[in-house]
Amino acid sequence: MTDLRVEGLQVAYETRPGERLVACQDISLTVASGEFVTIIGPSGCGKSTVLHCMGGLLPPTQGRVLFGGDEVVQPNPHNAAFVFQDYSLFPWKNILENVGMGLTFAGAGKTEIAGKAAEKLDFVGLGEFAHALPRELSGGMQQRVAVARALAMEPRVLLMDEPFGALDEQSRRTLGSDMARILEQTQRSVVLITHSLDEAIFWADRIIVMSARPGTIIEEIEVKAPRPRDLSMMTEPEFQAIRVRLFDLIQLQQAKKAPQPLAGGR
Amino acid sequence: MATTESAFRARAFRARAKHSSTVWALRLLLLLIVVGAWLYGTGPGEISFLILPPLGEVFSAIGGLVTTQVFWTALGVTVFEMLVAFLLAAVVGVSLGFFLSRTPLRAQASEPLLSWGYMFPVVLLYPLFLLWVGVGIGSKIAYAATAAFFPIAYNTLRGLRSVDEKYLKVGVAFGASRLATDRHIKAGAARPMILSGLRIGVSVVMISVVLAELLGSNAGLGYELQRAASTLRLPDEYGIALLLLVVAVTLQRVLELALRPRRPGQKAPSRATEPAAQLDE
Ligand SMILES: Nc1ncnc2c1ncn2[C@@H]1O[C@H](COP(=O)(O)OP(=O)(O)OP(=O)(O)O)[C@@H](O)[C@H]1O
Ligand SMILES: [Mg+2]
Repeated sequence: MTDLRVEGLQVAYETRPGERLVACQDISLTVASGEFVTIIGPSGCGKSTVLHCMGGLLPPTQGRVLFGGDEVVQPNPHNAAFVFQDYSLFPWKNILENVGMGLTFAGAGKTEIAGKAAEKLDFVGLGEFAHALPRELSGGMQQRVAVARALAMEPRVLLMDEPFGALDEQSRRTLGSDMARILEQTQRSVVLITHSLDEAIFWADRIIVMSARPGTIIEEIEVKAPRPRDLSMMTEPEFQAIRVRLFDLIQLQQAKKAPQPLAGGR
Repeated sequence: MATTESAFRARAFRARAKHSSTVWALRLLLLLIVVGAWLYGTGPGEISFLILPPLGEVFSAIGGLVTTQVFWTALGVTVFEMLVAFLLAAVVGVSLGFFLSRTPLRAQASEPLLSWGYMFPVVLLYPLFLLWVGVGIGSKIAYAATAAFFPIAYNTLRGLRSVDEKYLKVGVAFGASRLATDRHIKAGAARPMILSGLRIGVSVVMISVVLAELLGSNAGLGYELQRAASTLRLPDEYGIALLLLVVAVTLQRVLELALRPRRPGQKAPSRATEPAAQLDE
């Protein structure tokens, strides 16, 4: 069964009156229930834009987004919950309150909110920071809080925009693999944007590679490695083969862009 | 991380404490200069009694005043007017600010009006308040509340309008209703601006009430002050003015403490976490 389907999506931002910037176009993809999809592509190619449309946060200029057959016109955090690239925790609320924010909005009872929020906070390994303020946490810790906030909604799809971008390579691998393994068991679908080749492969059932702006899908790569996966997967030939392929694709993008500033310069 | 942080805090606290004692010494010095100038002026300086009565007489006038029923009644009237006017202005100003901030159209239409009201000397309308509400305490409350309403509503609206888009985005993504957005997002983000509006409101209320009592009333400290002046009881006049200063400072302090920014998740502000609070005035 498909949870999420994107059909012929195009988004154009009106940057100035009369001036349009096409961020992405011809995007069609599906996310099956329980499937993990990663999106990778050069910076500014419209990855966040696509993700925002998938969650109903941004209306498409063309095309549409369907969730379980119904057109998505506004966000529903029980269907699809976001982890934003800039985490966006509320500085005036403590960590526990931040994690429980979606439940508060949904009108849940105080004890239910506190219970679920504490559980998800433990899950991302920050249980002892329940009463700290966001500014007392490092960037990587704040991102984990944002993940916990999305998980607290127990959504069918998690839309994660570089959720581990502020972490160092090692913690990102361990935390990412732990989280991926636990999410595998919950029948949740995941759409994850990343700049890391390893992360893109490790998480994915399917990798979507986007071109530079205006972003289009230039390749979809299936990753057939069995689950649950652990970090040793990264040493296997299949992983390495995909990594090389991704490297070529992304590098090709950069190469296409690189000569321009040189030619335009001196 | 935590240890270096607490060491840093402790050092900052000590630095502030040292700074604070210097500040108080300087304040005392300034006070001494004023008193010295007063004593000199009324003594060797030979300033006329009708301009500046000797300090001793002012103090004995104060000693007399505080034993009279008249003074305490007047004080009660004035404080009552200030408190009610502030409460009215705060409730109406903040709620209207929230209401107006809900749509860009409302906000854009009303913001200039509020800022004009803020800049306009509302005292010019005081005669109208006397006409409408009469010479009693009602006109003082209505006038002072009107004057304080504008800075409070204006600051509230400005604060609510400048809430960072990324926080509102979280609200939309996580299904916040408009009420929840107001309560959990906009109020939190705009809190410093709203509080500063309320603090301005406190000052405006106090000035307005006394001014209104001076200009036309039948009760209150301003009224007593005006009566003392018109019967040339100069020491009494100065005495009441000084006592008014004490009342104003006390009231301001109490309201400021109540309006002090708090650390989220805390019920009341504690001194340990905000040692600088009494310095940044
Ligand atoms: N609100 C907006 N108004 C105008 N232009 C926008 C807006 N948001 C994004 N863009 C533009 O759309 C393009 C795609 O942006 P988007 O944030 O989707 O990229 P991205 O792939 O997520 O990049 P990154 O990897 O750096 O996060 C960019 O060129 C950006 O300048
Ligand atoms: Mg992005």
